[in-house]
Amino acid sequence: MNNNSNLLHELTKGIWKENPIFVISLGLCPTIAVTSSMTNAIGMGLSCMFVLVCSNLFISLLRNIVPNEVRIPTFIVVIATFVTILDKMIQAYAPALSASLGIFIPLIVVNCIILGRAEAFACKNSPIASILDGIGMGLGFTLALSLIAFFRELLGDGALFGYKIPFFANDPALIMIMAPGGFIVFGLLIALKRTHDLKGKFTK
Amino acid sequence: MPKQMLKTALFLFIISSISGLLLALSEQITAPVIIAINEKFEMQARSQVLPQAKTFKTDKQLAIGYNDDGSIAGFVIGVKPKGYGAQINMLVGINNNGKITGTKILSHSETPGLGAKITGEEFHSKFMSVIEKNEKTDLRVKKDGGDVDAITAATITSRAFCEGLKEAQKIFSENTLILNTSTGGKL
Repeated sequence: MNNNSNLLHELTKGIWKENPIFVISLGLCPTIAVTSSMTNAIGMGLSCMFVLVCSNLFISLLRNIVPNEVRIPTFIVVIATFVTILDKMIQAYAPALSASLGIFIPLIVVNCIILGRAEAFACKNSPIASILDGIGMGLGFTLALSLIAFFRELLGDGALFGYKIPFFANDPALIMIMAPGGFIVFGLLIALKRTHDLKGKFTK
Repeated sequence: MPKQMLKTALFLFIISSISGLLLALSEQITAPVIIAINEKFEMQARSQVLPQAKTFKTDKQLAIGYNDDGSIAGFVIGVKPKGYGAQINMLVGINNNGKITGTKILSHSETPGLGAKITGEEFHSKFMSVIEKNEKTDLRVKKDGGDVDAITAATITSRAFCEGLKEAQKIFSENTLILNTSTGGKL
């Protein structure tokens, strides 16, 4: 019973309590870069989730046999392998997504969330918990990207998933799909979440 | 100590070997698919900018388009003018008479929402109607005294587009000269 609720916690913590973007604040470079459209945000989020789950699983399996001195190089090799496989697969079977995400797929290798979870979680926990952690963190990342992209694409391009939305499409605020707009939306959302999190602490 | 080092090295060796094996495997599966996709994409792009040609023969910077009867229909020329963000990778179709039959932007890094409109249908159809209307189009943006409508707030991108067209025309005339001499004036 206790064990089961622990496992459930590993799955859900990444979505809200330890959200990789809004709380841990890792992997912010792709966050600003790809959230100018919903399609890109979800594509990037799911790609990261795939790599996270695979790398978490393998690193957890290796955790008892990997020599401590070469821990990081080993993790990087595992992560880079999965990212490269994913990049090839996307190029071959989803060329449109590959064209719009471009360099950001290979750059998942250096996404801090992935190495961060390997170091902080997968190398200390069982394979099952690590998979759940990967799914949770991946979902949290995807949801965070989608939320930012929702505001940026709607306000900056007057569209969602590339489809024009009446009223918003009349005179969109271009700055929102450029880099400054990314920082503005990101900052406001973090502020909102912090306000919500702190509320409980002070009223008590 | 040396024994420990050997163990560490061996571990890394095994991990890297497995990784290499997996990568080779995935490369083998995906490489043919990726090549096929790129070829199909190029084919589509070529017939878009030079619709009257039925078959193409590629030759470095340009592809020669042939009619059904084997005569030359025109050329598809790849150019890379410098845009606002970086190079704009574009294809230009030019028929036998030196008239532009179509353009296509393959890749670019212009500002989203401004210069990026260069890939849009609106800009392209407007440009093609200018080409249709004029006997000889002055390939400069209107701001510089030419005939081409620039994209609003993206003059540099539009200028780059015109530069690309001029470059393509230059390559066209150089190559028709060569073809003319080699085929005895019959194009």
